[in-house]
Amino acid sequence: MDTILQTLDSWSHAERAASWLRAGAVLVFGLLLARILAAMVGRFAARFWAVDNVVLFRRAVFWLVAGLVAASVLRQLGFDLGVLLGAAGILTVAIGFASQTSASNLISGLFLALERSFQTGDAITVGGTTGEVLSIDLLSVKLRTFDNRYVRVPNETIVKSDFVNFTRFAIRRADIMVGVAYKEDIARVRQVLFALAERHTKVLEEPKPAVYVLGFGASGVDLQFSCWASATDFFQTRSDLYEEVKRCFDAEGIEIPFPHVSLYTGADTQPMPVRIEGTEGSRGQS
Amino acid sequence: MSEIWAQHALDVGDGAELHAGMLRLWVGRGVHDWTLGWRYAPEGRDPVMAVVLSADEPALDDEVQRCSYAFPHSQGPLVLAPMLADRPVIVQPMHELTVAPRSLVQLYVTTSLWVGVRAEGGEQLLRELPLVQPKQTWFGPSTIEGEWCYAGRLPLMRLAEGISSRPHRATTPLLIRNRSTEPLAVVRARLPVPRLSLFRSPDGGFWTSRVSVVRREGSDQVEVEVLPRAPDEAGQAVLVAPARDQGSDNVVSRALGSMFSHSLIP
Repeated sequence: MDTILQTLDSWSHAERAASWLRAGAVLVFGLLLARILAAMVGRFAARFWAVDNVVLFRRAVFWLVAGLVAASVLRQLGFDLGVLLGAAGILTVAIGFASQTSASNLISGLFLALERSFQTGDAITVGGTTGEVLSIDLLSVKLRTFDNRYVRVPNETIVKSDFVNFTRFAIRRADIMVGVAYKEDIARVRQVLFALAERHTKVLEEPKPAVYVLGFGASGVDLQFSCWASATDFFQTRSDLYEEVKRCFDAEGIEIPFPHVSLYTGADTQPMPVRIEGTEGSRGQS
Repeated sequence: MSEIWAQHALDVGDGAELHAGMLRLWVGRGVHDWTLGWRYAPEGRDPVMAVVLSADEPALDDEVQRCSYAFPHSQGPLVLAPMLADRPVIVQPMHELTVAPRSLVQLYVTTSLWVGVRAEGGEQLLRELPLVQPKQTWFGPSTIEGEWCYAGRLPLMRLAEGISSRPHRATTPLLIRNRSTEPLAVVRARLPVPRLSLFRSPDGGFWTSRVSVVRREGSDQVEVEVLPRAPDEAGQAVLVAPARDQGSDNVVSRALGSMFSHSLIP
């Protein structure tokens, strides 16, 4: 009787060892398969999608396969998956209530990935923050502002608010707002501005620069001088243009008006009285 | 004045100054390095072509750009090689030109040369510089779709004689054949300069490969063919620089809008 019991016990041990071995093999080969499958799918998706979306998709495939492998391993070890799934369902409800924000960010992240409105390296403005996109992750987008701060923007914020992508297109228009005195000849001003645009190497030949008269301002005629430049050179080009406009107008004697205020001192039109108090040496002495 | 496009023997400590087009370039040879300094003359001045050996280093100012290239031991001679631009050039006729249905027109245009500065006996390309500072332009159907090109400075001409011979520019013959029943308007045309080879004629002038553009009947496609040999107008010309882009076929089919385009509304 003892011999039979010992034999049964040894069989039971052997069976348990075998199931552990099977589980180990499923784990190793399963994870290997998950990696290979994710890499293959990633390589295929890279033909159609941007890098950020490919990374997200590859990760999703990996974790999906890894989940199936984990379930298979637990089954090999003799766990009842029905009980586990029931517990997981209750846990999911509890976690769902506790992590509504994360879930919202996660879903927003998926929408952003599908929408492909920006990618890593683009310059965007969102919620009042402007910066270069460092990474697009499941829960948030990481930005580097131009004064070198690290900003984390939740995906939900981006989905809910307006955002601007400055580098989506290769070229941008710089609008230089400039005013000239009423006495100036607009045709001559236009000529000076076009000559400036022609000389500037960063201003594109096409689309052609344009000068628009916006209206009659309080101090002078308001003009808009529009030039196209590369999106990457945009800020420097706009700054150069403002500087050049000032330099050219000074050289050509074109007056840039500024607000004038006339003070009325009463019924009589006598000049404003000016009183000099003390001399240079006596200033500050009372 | 010695020939610019040649080998120039420079000893250690010596320099050479090149005036070509609007470019003023100084190249100096040190024991372990080559130094380049360059600037562009303002537009409107007459282009010159001259090289001065044993020139002193120019005085530095804000407009001079400089760079150095380090080697274990610098070796001469210095080679100045003519080249064509590294991007397509957008050319346009003096006035809008319309090619009538089932007819052809032969046009000529000149584009500015570049200089390739080579050291170590021509083995090492130090830098490529345009002889006239190019102006960038956008070419395509919209401000969203298109490509970066250079703007051509001189208009397309009907006769080769109309092209004034300038030593810093190369002439390209452009044949446009309209096989369609619709007229073809030529406002702006894309010259595929990186696909062109550069030749030098016996009289010293520079020519590029001939470009032939054919618009097929009932199609919005054009065939752009680059003939690999020197054009007949160049006489017994010799090849001085092969095409930068040698990978593409001689005949390329393109959409009509990506060869001829109207101005974009700003």
